[in-house]
Amino acid sequence: MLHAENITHIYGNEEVLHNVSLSLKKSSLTAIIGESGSGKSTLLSILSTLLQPTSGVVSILETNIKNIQNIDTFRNNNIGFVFQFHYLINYLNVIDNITLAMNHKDNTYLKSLLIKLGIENIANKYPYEISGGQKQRVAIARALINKPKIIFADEPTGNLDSKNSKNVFDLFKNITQTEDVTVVVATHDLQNAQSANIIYEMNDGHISNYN
Amino acid sequence: MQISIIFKALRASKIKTALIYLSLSVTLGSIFLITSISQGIISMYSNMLQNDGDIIVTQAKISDTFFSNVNISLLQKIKKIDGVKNISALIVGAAPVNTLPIVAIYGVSHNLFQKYQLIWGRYPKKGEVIVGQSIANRLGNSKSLTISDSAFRVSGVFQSSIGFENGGIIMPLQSAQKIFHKSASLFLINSNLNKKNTTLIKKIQAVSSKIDVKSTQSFLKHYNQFNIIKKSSFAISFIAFLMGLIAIGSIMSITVIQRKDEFGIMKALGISSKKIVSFVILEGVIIGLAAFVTAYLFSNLILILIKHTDTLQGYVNGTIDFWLVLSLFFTTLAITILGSLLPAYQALKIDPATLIQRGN
Repeated sequence: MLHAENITHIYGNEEVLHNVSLSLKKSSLTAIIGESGSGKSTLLSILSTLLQPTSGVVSILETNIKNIQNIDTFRNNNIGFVFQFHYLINYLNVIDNITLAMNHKDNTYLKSLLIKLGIENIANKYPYEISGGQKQRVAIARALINKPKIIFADEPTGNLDSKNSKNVFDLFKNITQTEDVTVVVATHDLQNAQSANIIYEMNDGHISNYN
Repeated sequence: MQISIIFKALRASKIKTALIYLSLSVTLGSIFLITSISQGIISMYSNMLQNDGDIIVTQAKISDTFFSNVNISLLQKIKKIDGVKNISALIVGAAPVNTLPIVAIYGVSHNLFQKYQLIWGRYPKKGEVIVGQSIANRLGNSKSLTISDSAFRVSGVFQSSIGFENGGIIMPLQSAQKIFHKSASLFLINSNLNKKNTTLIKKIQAVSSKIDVKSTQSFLKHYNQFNIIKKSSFAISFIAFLMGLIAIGSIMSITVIQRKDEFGIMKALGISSKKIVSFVILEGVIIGLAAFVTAYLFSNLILILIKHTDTLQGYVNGTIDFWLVLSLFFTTLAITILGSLLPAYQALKIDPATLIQRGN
């Protein structure tokens, strides 16, 4: 599904990632844990094609990302994102936010997604009218709308209470099976990260398997 | 991406949308007004001369008809030239009338009187004038007038669609000669010839080296005052265009910076660069089109007000024709597209990776 080999990344004079290699299996939930500044967000940016590594190779769906002709279309078709701060657009309602980058017209799928995520009743509400937990579920729906192969989530529970945090991880675990999607989560939340199939730990730009 | 999202985005930034809308409305309104008024002045003067002759004779080597002085004795010589159907003399001047500091005065030969359509009274004799309807109202329909230092009786009031005439006073050529101390500003000639008047113009030119003979069309095309008006109008319009461009560019740039997360998420979700650029440009174009309609309506309203403002004596007149509307429509598109290009480029340069790194 995703292979990263010897990823090194340098910001200015600082090497923030040192020869990071990892593999993600299809339909798995992977957690990347680590302290702030450990390099997990940089790694997530590189794995998700938002950032080019200084050196090393990242392959998604057997394709080296450096060889992808149209990275926008590739992301739109294959990758979903969930961020700590949701980044929902305030002037658009829930439906418009979810369908902002929708690349198909399958409204049945949209409806099923709303029901599955329990947000069908807030479909016409605006982000400022809903709770933090609901916002994150809307963001997950937005990430899933194009039926991606892989979802990258950056600190998705960073602004949620423990109950909502557990719900989000349960949801991620669930969609790996029902939606056949691979989920990679960068998180501080060690407790919920335990539900992942694989946990990697980032420490000072180095990666290791978490035991 | 649906067009409705663009409208929602515009509504979400009400103040900035209003600022762009207002600055574009003022820009386009200024261009509408300055162009239509300058075109109005040119067309009024052109119509006045074109209606009275197809050949025009002025003093040689003089840049404006106001300063032209053509010897009236040449009129009889020119009249005898084969092909000349009709010739009239005209003095164009301006003088204080009663309490008004400046009024257009036309001294005309008798054969020109017929063109002025009287509302009442009769054509003037010695010591008399006829007065254009708008200036008559302005002068309180007075029966006697003091023009410069001379007293005149009003023998009638006429109506003209040409603002300079309707706001002017017509007197016999001899009376104007005394006031302005000149023979004639110009001669207007109607020819018998339907084709080009080149030969006739040469013959008339041969009468005296002190005159300059041109077809009225060529005269108007090369008339210095018109060129000055056109160039000034273009310069002011261009400055307004630049100001509009700067206004839309700077306000939209601020908007894009404030909406960094919005464009960042669009890029992260794989919305194409083309769509993001279109999104920003369409926002500008939609505001621009609304401003265009407002400017058009507002300018027409101002022109109506100008037309009915007595103090302007009908000298300022403008009409917005189809070509002006069309050219301003394309100007609007140019301002909005050019003005939105830099903000669109800024939106494209937003790095979506910053969305991930912000919380850490």
